Amino acid sequence: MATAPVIRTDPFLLEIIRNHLITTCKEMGIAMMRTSYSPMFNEALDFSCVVFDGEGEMVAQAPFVPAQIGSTVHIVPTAIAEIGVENLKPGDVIFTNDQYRSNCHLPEFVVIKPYFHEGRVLAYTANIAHMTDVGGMVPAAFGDHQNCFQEGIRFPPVKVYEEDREVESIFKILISNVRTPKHSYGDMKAMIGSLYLAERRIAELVERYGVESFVQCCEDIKDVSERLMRAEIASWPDGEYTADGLLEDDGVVADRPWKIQGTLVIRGDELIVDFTGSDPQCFGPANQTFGTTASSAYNAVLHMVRSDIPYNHGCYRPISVIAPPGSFMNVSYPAASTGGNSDTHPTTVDVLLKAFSQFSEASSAADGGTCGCIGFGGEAPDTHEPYAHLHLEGVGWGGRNDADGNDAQFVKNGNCANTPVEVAETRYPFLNMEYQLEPGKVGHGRHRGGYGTRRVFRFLADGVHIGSHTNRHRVKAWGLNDGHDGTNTVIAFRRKGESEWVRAREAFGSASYGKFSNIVMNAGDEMLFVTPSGGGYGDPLERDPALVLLDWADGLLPADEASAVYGVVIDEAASAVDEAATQARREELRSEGSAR
Amino acid sequence: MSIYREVNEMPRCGACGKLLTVGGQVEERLGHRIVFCSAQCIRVFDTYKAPKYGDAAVWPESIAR
Repeated sequence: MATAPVIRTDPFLLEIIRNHLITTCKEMGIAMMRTSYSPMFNEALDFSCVVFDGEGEMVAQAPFVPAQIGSTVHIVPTAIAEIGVENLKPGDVIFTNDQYRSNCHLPEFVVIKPYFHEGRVLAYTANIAHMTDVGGMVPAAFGDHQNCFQEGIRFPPVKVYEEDREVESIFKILISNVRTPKHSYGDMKAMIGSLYLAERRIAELVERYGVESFVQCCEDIKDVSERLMRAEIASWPDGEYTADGLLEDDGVVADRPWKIQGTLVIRGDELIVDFTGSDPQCFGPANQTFGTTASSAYNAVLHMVRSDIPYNHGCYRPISVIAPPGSFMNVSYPAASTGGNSDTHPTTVDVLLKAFSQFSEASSAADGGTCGCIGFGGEAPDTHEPYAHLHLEGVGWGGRNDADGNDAQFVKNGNCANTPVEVAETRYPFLNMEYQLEPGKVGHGRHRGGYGTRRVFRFLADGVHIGSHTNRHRVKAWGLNDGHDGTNTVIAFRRKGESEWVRAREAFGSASYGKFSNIVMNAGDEMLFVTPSGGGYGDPLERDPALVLLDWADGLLPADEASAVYGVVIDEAASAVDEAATQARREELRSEGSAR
Repeated sequence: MSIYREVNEMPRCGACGKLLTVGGQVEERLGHRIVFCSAQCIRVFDTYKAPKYGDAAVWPESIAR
C-alpha cells in the first residue's frame, strides 16, 4: 500500500483553483466549438481540452472524449520530452499526430502550449481533436488500410508555432496533403486559439493566488485524486480476473476474428491491467496503439469507481498497463490503427467490464462496440472542390444492474454527438430518407440493452466515395448474468431503381461487411445503416412488466416477442399488461427453461 | 537538423510497452539490459511480470541496443 499523500493547500483554495482549471477546459471547448470549421468539432464535438502542470502531468479535464483524454496522459509528456523543455519558448506550440507515440490514432491532432511565468514553465495547455481528413487512401480516414502510409500524413512532434508565429512550412505540408485544406487550417487555428485562451485563464489564476500556491495546488489536486482512487481499488478483492472478447475482423482477412484478453490484477490499492494473451497485431486498421490501450484501461476503471473523483493524473497513478508490443493491443510500425480507437477501444472496455463483473455487480453488459465511423468524400457538385465528412452514429449500450442500456448513444470511448441531419444535408450531397431507433432488435434482459438506430442515405451526386470501419456485423454485444446478446450492425447498398439491399461483401467483394474503402455511390443510390443494440443484463423473466409495456407502447417491442421472451402478455386493446396471463406465461417459460 | 529516427528504432518500455522516444532507465534483468519508462514500471516487472511469465517477460523491443 502506498503512503497517503499529504495535502498542503487550504481545502477551499484547492477547490477554487481546481474548479477554475476545469472551467478553463470547458471554456476551451466552447471556443473550439464556436470557431472551428468542421462539423466534427462544432457538431460532433470530437475533441478534448486539458491542462497539464509544469511537471507534465494532467491537472484538469472536462467531460470531453474519454479515449482522447486517456491518451493525453502519455502523448503530451512524450511530445514535450521529445522537443525538450529547454528548447521551448513563450509562444511556442507543439504539434503531433503520431499514433506510435501514444496518440490514439492518426486522425487525432494534438497541440500543446507551454505557459511561462518569469522564465519558468508553470503549465501546459493542450487540445486533442479528431481531424476529419488526414489524406491517405480514403476520405475521412476510415477504411481497410494495411499500413500507416495508407492512413494519411503523420507528424512526429514539431513546433507549429514559434514565439507566437506560425511555422508556415508545417501548415503548408499539412494542408497540401489533405482533401479539406481550408477546414483543416481553420480547425487547427481553432485548436491553437483554445490554447491561448486557456493560457490567459491560467495567468489570471497565478496573478491572483501567486506562483507557489498554484504549483502546490497542482500537486495537491493530483494527490487528492490519487488518494480517492487508491481507496476505491483497495475496496476490491485482491486477485486476478481475466476475460476476453472478439473483434470480428480486421477488414483485410475475411472471417478471422481477433482476440482481446484483459486481466485485472488487484494488489491492495494498486491495479495492473495486463493485456498479455491478446492476439498479435492484425493486418488491417483495427489495432490499438499504446495510447488507446492505456486509455481503454482507464476508461473501464473509471466506469467502476465513484463518479465524484476529480479526473486528473492522480487517478492514473495507481494503474499500470501491460500492452505487449506488436500485439493487437500495442501496434508496431508500420501497421495501421485508425479503427483501433473507434471500434477496438469500446470492445476492450467491455472485456475489462466483463472481468470486473466477476466480483462486482456495478459492471454492465457489452455495448454496440462501434463509433459507426463512415467516411464520405468526393468532389462537391457545386464548388467542384474535394470534400470529406466523417459520419458518427449512436449504438445501444449494455444493460446494467440498475438500469437499461442507453439507446442510440455514442459508445463508451467518446462523448460525441451525431451531426444533425440539417447540417449534414446542407454541406454534403446526400439526404437522410429515414432516421429512427431500430425497433424489434435489442439484447433482452432484466435490464435490456439500448436500441440502435436505422438510417437510410440517398446520394445526390455521382462519385461519392464511402469508407467504413464499423463493428458487430457478426459478433454481437454479449449479455451478462443471463441477459441476451445484442443484435448486429447492418450496412447495405442498393443502386437507383433496385429494391434489394446488398451488403458490401456480396456487392463489392470486400473482405468485411463493415470495414471497406472507396465504395462508389452515384446519384439516386442509397445506403442502409443499422447500428447494433447492446447486450441485456439479467434474466428477461425478471423484467418489470411495466417496462415491457412501455417498450411495446413506444413501438420498439412487438407483443408476441414480449410474450415469448419476457413472458409478459399485453392486452393490446387496453394497452395494459394482463397480470394473470403474465404470471401463468412466466411460470410456463420458467418450467420450459428448467426442463432444458 | 539531427538525424530523424523512425519509431521502430526506438525501444519500448519493458513493463508497459510504451514507446520511449527519449530517456528511459536501463536495468539488468533476466540476463538482458531492459529499458523502462519509470520506477513504477520496474516494480511491475519485478513483482508481477517476471515472476508470472519468466523469460517470456522480456520483449525483444525492450532490450537496450
